[in-house]
Amino acid sequence: MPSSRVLQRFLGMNRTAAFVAAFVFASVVSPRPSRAAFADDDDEPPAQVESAPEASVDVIQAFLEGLRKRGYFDLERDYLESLRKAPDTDAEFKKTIDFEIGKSLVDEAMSVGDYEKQREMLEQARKAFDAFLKANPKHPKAPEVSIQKAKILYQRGILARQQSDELEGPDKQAKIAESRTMFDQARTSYADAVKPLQDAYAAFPPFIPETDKEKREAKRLAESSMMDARLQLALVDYEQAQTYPVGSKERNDLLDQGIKAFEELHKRFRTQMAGLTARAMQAKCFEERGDDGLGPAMGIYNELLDHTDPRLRDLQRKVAYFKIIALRKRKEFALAADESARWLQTATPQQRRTAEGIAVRFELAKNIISQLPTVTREADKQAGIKKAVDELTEVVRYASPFKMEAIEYLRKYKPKNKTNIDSVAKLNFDEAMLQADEARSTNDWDRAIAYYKAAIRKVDPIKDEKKSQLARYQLSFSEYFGGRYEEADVVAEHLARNYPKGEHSAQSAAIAMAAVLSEYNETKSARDKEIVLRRLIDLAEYTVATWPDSEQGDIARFYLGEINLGKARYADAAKAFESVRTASSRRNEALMKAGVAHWLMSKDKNQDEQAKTGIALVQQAYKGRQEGGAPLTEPGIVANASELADIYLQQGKTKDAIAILEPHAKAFANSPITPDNSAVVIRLLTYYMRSHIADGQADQALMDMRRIEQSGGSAATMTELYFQLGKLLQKQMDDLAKRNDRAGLKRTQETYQRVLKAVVDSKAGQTYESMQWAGESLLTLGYPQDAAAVFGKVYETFGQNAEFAASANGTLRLTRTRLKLAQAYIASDQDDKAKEIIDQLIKDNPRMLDAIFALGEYLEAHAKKTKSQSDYNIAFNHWSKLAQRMGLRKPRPAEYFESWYHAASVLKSQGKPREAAAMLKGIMRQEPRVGSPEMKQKYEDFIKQAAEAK
Amino acid sequence: MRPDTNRPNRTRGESHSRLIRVLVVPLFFAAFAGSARAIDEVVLIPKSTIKAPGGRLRGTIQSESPTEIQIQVGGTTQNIPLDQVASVRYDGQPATLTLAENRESSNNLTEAAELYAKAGDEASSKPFVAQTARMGRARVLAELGMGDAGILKQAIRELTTFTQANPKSRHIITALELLARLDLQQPDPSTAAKPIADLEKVPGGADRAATLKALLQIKKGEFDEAIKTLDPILAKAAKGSPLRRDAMLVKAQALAGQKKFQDAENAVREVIKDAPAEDAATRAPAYNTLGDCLHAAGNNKEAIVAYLYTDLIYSKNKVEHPRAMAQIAKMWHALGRDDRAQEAIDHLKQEYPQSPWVADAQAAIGK
Repeated sequence: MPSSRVLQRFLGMNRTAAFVAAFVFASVVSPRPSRAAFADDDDEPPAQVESAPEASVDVIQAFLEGLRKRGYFDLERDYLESLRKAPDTDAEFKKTIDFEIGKSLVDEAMSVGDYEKQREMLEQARKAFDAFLKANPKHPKAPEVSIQKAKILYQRGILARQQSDELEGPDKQAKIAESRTMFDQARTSYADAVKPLQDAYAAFPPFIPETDKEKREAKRLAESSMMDARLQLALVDYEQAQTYPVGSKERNDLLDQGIKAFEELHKRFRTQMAGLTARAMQAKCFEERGDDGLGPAMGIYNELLDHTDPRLRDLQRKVAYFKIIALRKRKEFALAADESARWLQTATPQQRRTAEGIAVRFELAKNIISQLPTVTREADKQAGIKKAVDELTEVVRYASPFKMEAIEYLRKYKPKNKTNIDSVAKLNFDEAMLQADEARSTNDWDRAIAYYKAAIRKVDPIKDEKKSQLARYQLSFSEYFGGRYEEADVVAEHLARNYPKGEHSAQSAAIAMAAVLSEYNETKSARDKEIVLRRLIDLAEYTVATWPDSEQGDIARFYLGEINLGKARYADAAKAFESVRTASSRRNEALMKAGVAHWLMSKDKNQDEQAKTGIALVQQAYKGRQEGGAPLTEPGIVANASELADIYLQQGKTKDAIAILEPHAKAFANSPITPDNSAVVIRLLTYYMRSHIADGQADQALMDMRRIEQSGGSAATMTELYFQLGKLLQKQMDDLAKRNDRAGLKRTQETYQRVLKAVVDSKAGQTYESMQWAGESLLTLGYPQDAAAVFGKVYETFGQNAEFAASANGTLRLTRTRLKLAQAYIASDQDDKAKEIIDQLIKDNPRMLDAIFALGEYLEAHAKKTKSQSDYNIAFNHWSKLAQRMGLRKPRPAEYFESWYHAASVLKSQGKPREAAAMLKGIMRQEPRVGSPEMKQKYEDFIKQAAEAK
Repeated sequence: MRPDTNRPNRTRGESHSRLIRVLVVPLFFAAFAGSARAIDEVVLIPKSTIKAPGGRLRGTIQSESPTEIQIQVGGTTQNIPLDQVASVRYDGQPATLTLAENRESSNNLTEAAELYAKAGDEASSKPFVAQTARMGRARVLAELGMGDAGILKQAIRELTTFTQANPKSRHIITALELLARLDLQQPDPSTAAKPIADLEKVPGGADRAATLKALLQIKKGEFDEAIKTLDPILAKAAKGSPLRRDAMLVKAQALAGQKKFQDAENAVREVIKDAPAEDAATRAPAYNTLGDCLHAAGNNKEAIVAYLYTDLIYSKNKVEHPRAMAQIAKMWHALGRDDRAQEAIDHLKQEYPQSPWVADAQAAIGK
């Protein structure tokens, strides 16, 4: 675990531990920063208003500073809004309200642990700063906005990195990429901000008489702002280094950059807090550089710890922690453990609960554990383990970067406690809750559930309502993560519905929704699924109605939107997505989905206005993401671009589709495609390829194809990809046909054919998946001979490959190839060849449905060629028997309806359209939904054509 | 003795000069003997109506009364109204008194109380000095009593003794007022009736007594009567004067009691607006009163902001600060934020561990 996670906690997660923030961030615009800058967060009150001839504004500023120090950010912003509305608020101050709100949001974002909330706040802060700048472009505080926005980018970089720690695979890599991009942008912003600040400071004369208090104060503030910006700039290097593996060149280069920058800062401002902070960070960079750097790091740590100025206590506490890490790296475990113990002994209870307090506990535990191999006496060993376990138990109680690792240690060293029912029953509420929380923190769900239930039994739900609700909430949480979804739902819904004003009720609703969704996913029967879905809808609607202005309300809106989208209830879907709060961090995603819903509605009901609305919303979402600084490779913005491209393609605006996708494709072209980011790349390139095909750019489409293949997806992924790609292209051509765009359709078909043939002919990177897909696509496009040639080649190449045949699903895949080959032969009038394959398939697999279907298709095609009544009868009988066989299954499978469709087709070919139509109508009367909307449409189209054929 | 042959023979004139020199010196000092022996100093308030070089009068204080100090300066006796007096320094006052005053101004109240007691004993033969010392001690005990119920009782005892023993002291109005205010905070505020009645009889004390009487009426729920008591005071009190400020704040409480919340709020905001930004003595009680009015009107969030002004900006007012902290805890509890309520109580306990407000806040949030 990189030790820098502690620092990221300082800077990103905990206001009392954010040593750089406390000293640097808060110091910039505070009217009295010198006290605040040295204040211990825990106990020093904010500056008193000793004399304030300007009265109001100074008092208000001091008040706001006090609220922030107290952590009352929400109250601060409410107060600012009330000042905005009050008629007697100082006009000049009123102009700065958005600026102050932005600062408040940034400060609060650094103190919350919830990632989504952090993102939301940083986004709101950005908007507030933009609003301030727009209204006051020449305001004296305008230069500060660039620093604040740089800070937002920096925080987002840290946030993305923290989120990546909890992800795996492509999502992890996407987050790391996002983090690095944010740091790059932050670096640029800080660098742009530093120069004017340096110039502004340099413009002051070196000496200002003491009597000119105003100018002295202005100079001091200018110096603070400059130091702050320079320190931040240097910190970006350090933080970005953390996104690279330990020992990597990129990491070390960034650390070296940081060392240099911090050293300069220290030299220039050695007596100021910024200078000393820079010195500490310089040491940190040395330490992380590796073994060579440990010596210099320790030297600097000791130098800082030797300072006697009491104002440095806060910094020294952090430096002491860094030193502990360095000692551990030097394998001086005993000394590191001693230092950890001393740190904890001299800290106040409140300090022990901070992020660094937790980190030091963790270090103590680790250092004790590291010494165990050298301990010979068993009693000493057990004592050491007990001490380590005690510390780890404290660590896992809180969210921290060390929690997972601490849980692993506990699993290894903590004695296994079987839940003894008798002993559980003897516990009082607090004891049971403590045991339950401990079990929960180590993911021991069964134990946690047992103890929470015990706690619930010990408390009166009326007299001790809050305790009862807390225990139930924790129980529902444990049930959910323990995989007991129904139980989780029961408990959570009970809280949510019966105690809507309860402290945990909104979160309980979220757990209940997640539990019901999990139940839905596990339910097999369609009928039962429908029942569960109705429960989910009801619960989501209740959540929206009860907590409309909450994150849980937004989660519920997303549920409702997705469910309605899935059910083609586009108006309801749009309404649900559009009602997601403006302040939500997922607002852009909601807008995009609302746009998609409107677009789908426009196609369903042929409404131009809906189409316009849909496009506008998807565009707005895309713009919102751009303005929010989303990197071009970020999955969300890529998805948004893809949706927009899809709409443009459906409108026939191929150039627009290409234009929207191009910057993203180029961004990926400059980054290596790894197994971890391939999913995002594949999606993008698929849309890009479709756009090029539609635009007739075969060569470009082929390049896209190559890139897709290089993306390194698994065989299953690539199969799925080609399948989806085929469907999309087919849909594209259907749309062109419906619009009567013959030229577009011809162009798309021809380009597609060229691409497919090129895929088959190319020597490099040919896989079963790509060739099979090419063959099937050619068949769908109406080039059966080309398709037959491809299938033949596939069978020849891979059928004789023993390794392929022996691989998972190898036989199955080859069977599919033979079936498709048979279909291609039928379509290209090579019936004998088709029959030969089909007969062999049926002989090898008499019950293979695909083969039986293929036989039916052959018989049908054959009958249509010979036009012989007996052939028609054979074909008809084959299909009707198959349909009857399928009809025995409940619910009736798609093949049932497909078989009757073919039977009707035979009748129609026989010159009996009325009978054919009547037969299908009869099926529809029995089964109005006809299996699926697509099949229903097929039946209706057939009946309509049959009526016209009369 | 051998004759001093080095000395010149003294002439008659020379001998006479020496005698004159010898006689002049005592006369010289005699002329100033009176002022050197008794220099009391009365420091006037800034922009005082009394003209004096450097804003100070040096002489001998002849008498003190609830309304004025009589001081002889040179050959003239001047009567200085108490409202023009910022401070008094007595000739020969014990060093402990000066030390006590220094400790008090640097907020070292416990030591200040001890030193005042000592000064009072040391100055037992100097009534004015002793009264000043005893009043100082009572005042400091009253402030310490905001954090300790036991000390508060002691403050009340000492104030009662003082007022009974010194009915004509220049401190009597302050003492009776302080005593009444302390009594009003007791579980049975009706004990304040006596000091209020006494204050009414003291020349110059009637207006202040009226304000206190109104407070007592409010405690009894007699809001209409309280307003009737206050209106005449407000009609004549000068804008910005402490009398007007206090009366206005009390009226705000009465209006809140009548559920005329907007009027109450307007009254308090007027006081805040008229007070300088650094005036913690005015603004702290004003913001607390504002908080009370807003809370009574059901605006708990705005009430918290008002109390927080006292807590964050005017915390040096040690009478109002703990009350503000307790109210903040209660407001957070009312808003469903027990985490913040507990934090506020923890702060209160840390700063004023013996304050009765701790138990008050804890009881209110059910802890």
